[in-house]
Amino acid sequence: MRAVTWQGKHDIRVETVADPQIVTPRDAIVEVTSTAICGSDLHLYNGVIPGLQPGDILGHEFMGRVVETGPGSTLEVGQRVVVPFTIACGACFCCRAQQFSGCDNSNPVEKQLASETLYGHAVAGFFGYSHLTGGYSGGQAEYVRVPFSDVGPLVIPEGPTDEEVLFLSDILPTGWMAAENAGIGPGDRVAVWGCGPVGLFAIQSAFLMGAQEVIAIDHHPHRLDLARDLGARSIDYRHSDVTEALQEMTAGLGPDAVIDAVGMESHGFAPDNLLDRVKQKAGVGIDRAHALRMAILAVRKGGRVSIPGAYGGIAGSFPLGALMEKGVEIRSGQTHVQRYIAPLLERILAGEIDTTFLISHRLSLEDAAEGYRMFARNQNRCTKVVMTPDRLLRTTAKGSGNV
Amino acid sequence: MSRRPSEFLKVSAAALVPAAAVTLAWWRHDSQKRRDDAPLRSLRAPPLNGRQTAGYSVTIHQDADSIRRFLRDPAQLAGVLAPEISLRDAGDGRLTWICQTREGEAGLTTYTEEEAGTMIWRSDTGTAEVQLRLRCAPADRGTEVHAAVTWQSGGLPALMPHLLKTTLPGPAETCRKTLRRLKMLLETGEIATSSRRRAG
Repeated sequence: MRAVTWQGKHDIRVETVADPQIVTPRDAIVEVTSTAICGSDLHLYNGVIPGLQPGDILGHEFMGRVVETGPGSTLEVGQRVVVPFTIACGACFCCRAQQFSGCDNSNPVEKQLASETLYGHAVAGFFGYSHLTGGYSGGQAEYVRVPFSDVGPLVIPEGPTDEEVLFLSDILPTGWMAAENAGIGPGDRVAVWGCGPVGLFAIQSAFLMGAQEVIAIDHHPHRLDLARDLGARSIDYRHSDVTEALQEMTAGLGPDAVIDAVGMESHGFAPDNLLDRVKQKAGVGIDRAHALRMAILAVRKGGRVSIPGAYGGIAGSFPLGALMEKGVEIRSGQTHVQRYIAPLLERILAGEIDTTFLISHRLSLEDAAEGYRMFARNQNRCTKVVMTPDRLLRTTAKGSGNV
Repeated sequence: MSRRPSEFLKVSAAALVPAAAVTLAWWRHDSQKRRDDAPLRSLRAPPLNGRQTAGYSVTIHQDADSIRRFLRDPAQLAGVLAPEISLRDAGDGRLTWICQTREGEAGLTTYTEEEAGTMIWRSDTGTAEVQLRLRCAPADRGTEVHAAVTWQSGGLPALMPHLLKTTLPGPAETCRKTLRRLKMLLETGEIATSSRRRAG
């Protein structure tokens, strides 16, 4: 089969590799019909997430049709499914508590030690990510082996297009959980750092949860336009002092809740960010946490901080004093996709949520390297790249190319 | 009259070495005086009697009887051990554990005991012991399985086992992996792997 492989920093190649097989009883094999490049794939592309090996198959946002099942799978051949990026067993303490991204049993034993040492506990397995998260082959490929297929994949009825439901695999539930973690209720004023896919879906979710006002912060004009289209007010940090602007826009109170949808590759010319950048380049730090620091300083006293942005290591100059002295609550975590995926599908089918506005580029899987390059270099215009395996493009004659 | 720098260094070293030795001895002596309820294996400094302990604990969402039944069956037990370890039935309820090492094959025969909820595999030479203590976990979380491996350090210098415990995979790592596999198998029916294709 054809698959998108990571070969090193900024080196993505589409290669022919052996097809996956059913390995354990609860497996299914899914033929991928649509897959997307996620903002967190760029962390891999930029080489800031450790634990990748040349030849690893990328991709954790994908959907397709079931073509083979193991004896323990509840799926049926021919079913159309969206697959959560988190792999969860459904039986351990975390899964039973609906905290699927904490699954104890999906990260292979021999891969657990690194994250156990780094984070205190081993993390769950993810598709197409670092070997810290299991080293599972991802969905930017023609076929994928899906472990614990009786727990994760959601069967999609005929009707909605792939593009209408694809983002249930990660970014829509991630945006939703970000808003939920921010404890948003009616009348709240919310600030969202980062108008990438997760930030934009967090804005959408915040309004659905009753937020009175959402303020979006970024420096890409097109992304800020998308945020405004969703009803948010905007701050371009290249032109305005964010802290001062937020103080003014909330009449001195500060936002009730703040969401850091930026994560470990924060931009900006602030001294702390420049120091983080030097550390990241030198390999002595993983995270550039400038957006998070700003968010903590901006949130009102007694406010809530939600962190859906991906962080992987240790950040210095963390404003612990502000957290404590202002009595700020902080919540974070990889997304418990399995918890949110079904109710969010209902909202899509009911017409409450439309995610297709995000898609800026449609490509063949064969053009993945160009997709990565474009997404990394032009984050203003390139908001989401969706790819389809070339074989399917030929059979359905849908064509490809930029929108 | 001022001393040359090299003499100064010698005098400083002469003073520092005994001071360091006294500090180390005090630290080791102090660390042996246990004043807490932490498991023995979490001792920062290994005991002075040469007996080393490593261990690991997991909570398994299964009742204790199912776990005991699994562990009493050598065929099932072998399924969660590291690939380099195999089991042979040595008769009379004894098991021989075969470990493939770089030097060749090493074997250890144990007999199994059960004492008040604890399963014990004790070597017939008395040099090693594996204890698995099963305890009901709170709030419907299943069963806590606490493993402790005790072995004779074989005359290694006093500090070496401590270094080995922290720097090299050994009994502690084997213990961790085995219990993790046990948990996976009993909770999910399979042991997770990221392999895309079947072995062989």
